[in-house]
Amino acid sequence: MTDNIITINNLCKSYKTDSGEVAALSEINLTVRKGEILGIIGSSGAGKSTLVRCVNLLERPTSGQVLFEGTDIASLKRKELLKLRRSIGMIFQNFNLLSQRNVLKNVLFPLEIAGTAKSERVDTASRLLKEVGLSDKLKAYPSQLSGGQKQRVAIARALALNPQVLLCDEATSALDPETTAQILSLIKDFNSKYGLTTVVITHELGVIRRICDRVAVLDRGKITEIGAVKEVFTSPQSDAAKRLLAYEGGAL
Amino acid sequence: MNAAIWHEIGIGVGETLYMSVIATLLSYVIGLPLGIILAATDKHGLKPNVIVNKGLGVIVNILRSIPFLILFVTLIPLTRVLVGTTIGAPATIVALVFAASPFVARLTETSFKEVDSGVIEAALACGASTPKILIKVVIPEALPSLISNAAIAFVTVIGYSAMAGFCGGGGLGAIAINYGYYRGNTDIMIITVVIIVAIVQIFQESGLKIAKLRDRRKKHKNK
Ligand SMILES: Nc1ncnc2c1ncn2[C@@H]1O[C@H](COP(=O)(O)OP(=O)(O)OP(=O)(O)O)[C@@H](O)[C@H]1O
Ligand SMILES: [Mg+2]
Repeated sequence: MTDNIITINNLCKSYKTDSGEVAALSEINLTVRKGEILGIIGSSGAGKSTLVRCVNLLERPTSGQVLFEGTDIASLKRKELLKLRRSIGMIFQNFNLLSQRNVLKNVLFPLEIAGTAKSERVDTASRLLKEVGLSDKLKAYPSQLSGGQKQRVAIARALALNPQVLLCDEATSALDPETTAQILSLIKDFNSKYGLTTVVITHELGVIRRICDRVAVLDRGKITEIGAVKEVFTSPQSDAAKRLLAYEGGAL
Repeated sequence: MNAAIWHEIGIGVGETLYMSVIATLLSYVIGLPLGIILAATDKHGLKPNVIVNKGLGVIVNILRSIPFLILFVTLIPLTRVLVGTTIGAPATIVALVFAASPFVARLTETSFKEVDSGVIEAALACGASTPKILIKVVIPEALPSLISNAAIAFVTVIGYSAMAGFCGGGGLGAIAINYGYYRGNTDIMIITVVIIVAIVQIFQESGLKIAKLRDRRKKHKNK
């Protein structure tokens, strides 16, 4: 057996557009280890969102494989795929909360979908909302919350079904630095407390530096480099990684 | 202006409301599922399907482009089969449903398409099936827009029903034509017009109010 929870083999994804085929991802090979926080960094349009969306099949790869705990997810039947998605939580840059549901009911949503017993639902949702520090906002609607609070609700919702993996697609990109730090330490807490495997997509080096164990550099649809954060950041090998680090140096 | 006329007008108001309510409800029974299908089969929808989308779209467009009075007259043979008469409220309801269903289909389609695709994506990521997304995400998220569009649909149906007065339809339209126009009674003409305008205003405004109250997207004071 392996302690890789996700294995991606030769993954390619291209889109047909009016101006021909666009390759968003080419020949991606990547593993996510149980319990780690893996960062995927790349500039805008590098293919980061496409890559995470292939992990829960929100996007169908054009070719290649995604194995989740050894199972090829493309081979799953519809019902099994829905089950798989319940063991992969996901949060987004724009939070994507249900605007017509209050905070508590947003977190209840996945529990309703999964058919969790009614008596358990409210308990689970309230416990999670307490963990993310929103016990006093259960009845508030998303429009009444700050960005950071919205992302906390989204995290509670993503964790409601006790997933094995949390995918974060630019989860802090819409937040100010202080709120970013709070959300990142919340993610880190869940990772260390529950061993929650986490994949963090970002274009910010700071995010990687703060919470990731390993980092993969994605550049124009290809992974140019992957390794421990310290190694990649102190001695980058690929041009893409060097460029990312150079820009940060320049900006500071 | 004698009591008998006022009595007629009273019955006319009742008939107009009755025709419009029944016709609007039936138009939603037909139009709402069509709106769901149109939105879902769109190329950015939940179940993209070009053939269904274009095919249904063409039918809806054709029905929508036929002027109401022409539709009313064209439908007469069918109306006779369906309700056994070609005049009065029942006949008008048939034509109203034909005219309003495609309109409702487009209105509801628009409401559904306004739903934030990110929210649908989050629901998909939670492992929700398509029917669950429809019932628990798309419809509730679109509800404020569905309500304000329902007011527009209802008001449009009232407008059509008044037109039907020209060809034997009942309600206020018939009174305006028969007493007002043919008998040259300007008072009755004006009164019926004022009443129709008032009904339209009341329903349009209350539709918007209800939609606004129901919408949680704006900041609102808590208790
Ligand atoms: N549905 C689509 N149709 C066509 N091209 C697409 C589609 N989705 C993504 N792409 C293209 O694929 C490439 C990768 O997009 P992706 O959204 O994965 O980038 P990203 O790294 O997440 O960027 P960002 O940081 O801006 O979110 C881009 O060139 C984009 O234009
Ligand atoms: Mg992206």
